[in-house]
Amino acid sequence: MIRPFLQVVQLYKKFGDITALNNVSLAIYPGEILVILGENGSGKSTLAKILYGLYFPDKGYIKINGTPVIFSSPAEAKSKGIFLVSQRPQLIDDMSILENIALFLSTSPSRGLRKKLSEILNYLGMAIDVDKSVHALSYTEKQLVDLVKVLLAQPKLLIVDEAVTYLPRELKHKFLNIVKGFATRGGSVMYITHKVVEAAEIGDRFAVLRRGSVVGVFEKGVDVSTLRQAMFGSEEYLTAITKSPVQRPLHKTPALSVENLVVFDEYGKPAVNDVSLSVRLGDVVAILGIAGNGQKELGEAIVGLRKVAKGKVLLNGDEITHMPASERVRRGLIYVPEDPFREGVAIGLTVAENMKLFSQSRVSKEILETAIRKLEVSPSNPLISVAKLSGGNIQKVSLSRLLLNTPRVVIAYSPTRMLDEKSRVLILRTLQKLAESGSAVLLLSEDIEEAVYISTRIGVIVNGKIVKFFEGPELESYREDIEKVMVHA
Amino acid sequence: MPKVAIVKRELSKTVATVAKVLVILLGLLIAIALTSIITGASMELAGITLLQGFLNLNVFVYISTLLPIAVGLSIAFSASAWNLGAEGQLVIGAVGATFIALYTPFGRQEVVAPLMALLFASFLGALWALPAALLKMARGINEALTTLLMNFIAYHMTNYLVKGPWRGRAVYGYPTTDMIPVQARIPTVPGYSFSWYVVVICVVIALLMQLFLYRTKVGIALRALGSSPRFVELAGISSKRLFLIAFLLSGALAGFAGGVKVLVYHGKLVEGPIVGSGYGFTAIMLSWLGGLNPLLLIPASYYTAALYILSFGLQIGSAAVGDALANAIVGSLLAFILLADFLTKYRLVIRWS
Amino acid sequence: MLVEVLKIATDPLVVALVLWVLGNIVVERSGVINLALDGIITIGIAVAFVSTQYFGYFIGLLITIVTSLAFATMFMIFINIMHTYHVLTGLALNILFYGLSALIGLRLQKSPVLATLTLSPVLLALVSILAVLFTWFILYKTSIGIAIRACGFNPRASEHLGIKVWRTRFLASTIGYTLAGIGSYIYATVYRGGWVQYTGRGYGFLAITLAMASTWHPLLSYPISLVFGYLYTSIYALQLLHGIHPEIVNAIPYVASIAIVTIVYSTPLHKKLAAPRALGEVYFKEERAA
Repeated sequence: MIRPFLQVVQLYKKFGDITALNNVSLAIYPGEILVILGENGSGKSTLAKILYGLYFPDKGYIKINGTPVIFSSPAEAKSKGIFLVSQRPQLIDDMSILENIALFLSTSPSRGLRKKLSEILNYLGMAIDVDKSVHALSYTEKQLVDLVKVLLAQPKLLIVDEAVTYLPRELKHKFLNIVKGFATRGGSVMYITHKVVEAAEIGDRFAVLRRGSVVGVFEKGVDVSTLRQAMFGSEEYLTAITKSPVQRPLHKTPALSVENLVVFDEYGKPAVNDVSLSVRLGDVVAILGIAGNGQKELGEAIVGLRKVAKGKVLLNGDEITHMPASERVRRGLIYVPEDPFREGVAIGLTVAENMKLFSQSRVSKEILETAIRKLEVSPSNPLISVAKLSGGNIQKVSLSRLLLNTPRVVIAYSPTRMLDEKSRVLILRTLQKLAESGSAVLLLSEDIEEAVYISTRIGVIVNGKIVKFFEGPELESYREDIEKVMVHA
Repeated sequence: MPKVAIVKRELSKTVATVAKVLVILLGLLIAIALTSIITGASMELAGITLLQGFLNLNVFVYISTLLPIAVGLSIAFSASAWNLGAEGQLVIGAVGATFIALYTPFGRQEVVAPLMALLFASFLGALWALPAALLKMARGINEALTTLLMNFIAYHMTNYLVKGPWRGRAVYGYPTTDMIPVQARIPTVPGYSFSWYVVVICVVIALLMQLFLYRTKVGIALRALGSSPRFVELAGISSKRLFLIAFLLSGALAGFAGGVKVLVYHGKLVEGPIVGSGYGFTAIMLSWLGGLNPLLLIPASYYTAALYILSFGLQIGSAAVGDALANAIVGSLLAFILLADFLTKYRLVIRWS
Repeated sequence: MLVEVLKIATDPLVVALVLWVLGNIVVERSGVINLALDGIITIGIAVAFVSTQYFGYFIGLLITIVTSLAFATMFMIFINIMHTYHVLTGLALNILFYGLSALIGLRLQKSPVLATLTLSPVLLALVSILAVLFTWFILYKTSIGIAIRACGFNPRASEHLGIKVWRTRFLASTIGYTLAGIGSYIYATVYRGGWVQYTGRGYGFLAITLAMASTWHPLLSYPISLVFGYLYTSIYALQLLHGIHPEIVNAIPYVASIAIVTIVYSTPLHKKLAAPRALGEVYFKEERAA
């Protein structure tokens, strides 16, 4: 009988009123790849963050080789050989690759380190100058550096939190091979993903999380449908959305058009490079891309949160390229931000106060209550502070801006990220209904599933350029092709 | 080894209120202890002086300057506009009031004179806040820093006026202007240096600003600006305009308080640090004590005024000691408010592994 | 010209200012807005003045440094453990520190003057130049310095990389306030040799402004401090020559520091140099955000 390298014992973590992890117990053995499978918001990342010392558990603890420990910082987790690669690269953009790696390894940026780093980057087919600042790298390159830093650290347990999900295909294979090799040499791997097929390929064992609890642990050889069943419960969520009829009457002239747009990021590098697109009333257009490829900047530039360097933005034929965001919103261009906590609502205000601010006209009590009912905000008391609501409900309050106004154009940037299934369906349905009632909708996202279900046209953005548009009645059938274009760096 | 971590917590309103009240009571104890240590007076004497402070009508002297400044600052801080220049805006307001009273024909007209003087004081106070707001909006220069520097400039400019061109003819070389005309002065309560008119105006200002912040769309948006300027923009409201409104309102109310000081208290312009006497900083403490809520500022300013009377009431130390003591009390009280904020928003988790 | 520069570089006031600016750079590079500097300088000056009267110059220096560090630690506890607003905390502690400094000076001084410590101009210039090089070396060439700067750029990513953010910030404040403490000591004993209530108030804010004008870079801060020092010392000559009112002269440094910052931030220069992006952000490790 082999002793587990790490045991998770009855972990429990709450954020306000939301239970992120509920009595989670698991074991990871040396030499195995344990896959943690779960939907967004199921608690996967919270678990990873606790194991890496970023979050402190409310109850429960970890055992390493039988000794109980609780980490209060990643530095401590690292000293025990536990390393995390997060969903999004965690690097200091203003510093060089070498400095970042040196920081991570707690050494000085020596010549030896420089050599080792260049070697491993070369092996992966990425000849990058290690003195280059991280902000000058593409998103894929950043992900790569983030992965490489961990490989240099000689981990005992490697936690990979969706970090390779969207890597270009060849690179992904190389990495998965490295990870497998690491496991066969006796290391432990915790591989976190929401992609069932991919999970089944790589995992030795599978633990499925739903709403903060472990709902099942499966051995190698389990079939994909069993895993899917455990993940989603009885129904698969997107089946709840009906595909919108394609023969909707569309206006000829576009409500929103973007011409040869160029937008720079904080460091003066082009984040959006010569993008043109248009959205007609009644239409849902999606721009898909892996995070960091420019769709965020594109959305922000269209709504006016970011300066446009070159090109034009037109709303109903009027140029709005250099207008402040507030002015555009008043003209009916409504933006739903990704992060409801920081940009979607004013967290210190009540639900009613937030809604008053969203509406461009006076809000009566009835209008307010109708919006709350339609969006199923719970609790439904409008005088409650938004801070007391769960993430999904906060996003719903943020979305009330769509119901309280009659938007001409709606831009939604990853509006369903980190939400539970039910809230996602509601949000997608709301966007769909808006399009049906005559608004133009632009969805910026990295989620292919959502996009194919509600859009009539899908553009794929890579490195700030829209490389391909997909159109037609059978968008679902392009799923594979779309993904191929997305990850082709 | 125990592991300690800091995590967020949600306290009910009642518990948070109890915590605030505890800080307020603790503040009184600190004030008494500090006073007795520093002036050498017994704890009993200090305690009695403090109690008398609460019953002393002189509290209104302090309330009529502290309250309007703190109301203005509450608006600014709610909007995360870090105006730390109320002291300078107050001083420049005093200059403005003096200018109307002494150097314009309005100065000798009953009723018109004090009204004009207060209006102009508010205008100059807002004007003094403007550069910091503009530098922040145009160049991203930290407004906390520039407003602090502007305080010093205001001090020196005022000193220049009272030592130079505005020095009075009848003041025997003291650095002050002549007394302002009687018509420009606001009648005070006999035997005291405060005016009921001003006290009433201050309370009305607090009530109006309460309505403004909690009942109007602009007011609600100002409070939202504190959490996120982007949120406000995305709701269709110009964050720049809101920032400017918050800054100018707080500057104007500080300037108003400066006008009050000249028209009611001093009756003339004196040196900058004496006009200001740190009220601009005390008001910052006061606005947090009142939780940035104009209505709560009314009792909070009463409380702060009593502490002021305590600092200067024991005639054992010199005026210099009194000023130092007031600073020590106000500073430690604000530190305690921050501590209470921490304890209500976060909790320590201690685990033995 | 050279003579002028030398005169400025050896002026004890300028040397003190350079040390304050450098100390502030180290602290703010770790991401903390350092308004408490003004109060800690004021206390440092009062303590240097009083402790030298009792214990002599050397022990006085040590006491000044230790006191500065103690109050800086208090500031850091508020910022990093209690997660309070940087600006507000700095201001609260400043008010308290002004009061304490006055009480220390008023109650403990033996006499209102102190025989100034005579240091050779070369030594003074050397102290400031060495301090500039030391700060630059620490911040850019050591792993501690890289960690400090990382926390100022992005505390969250720093934590991910395995840096203990709060510990790094305490370390930064220890380095910074040692320099600042020496500055306060030089101001009190070498430059001023006397004390009145609130001596030194305002220099902290000037130092913070100059640090910002030099985009928090130690090597750039030296010439900027010298330019400012030149203005500062020569306006008193202006006063004598042209009879400008002394109160106007006293206001000029504050106007000048705002002007310098505005000029630097109106040129594209400041965009080229990496400023601590997270300066003033309240960093809570478990923040709930998407």
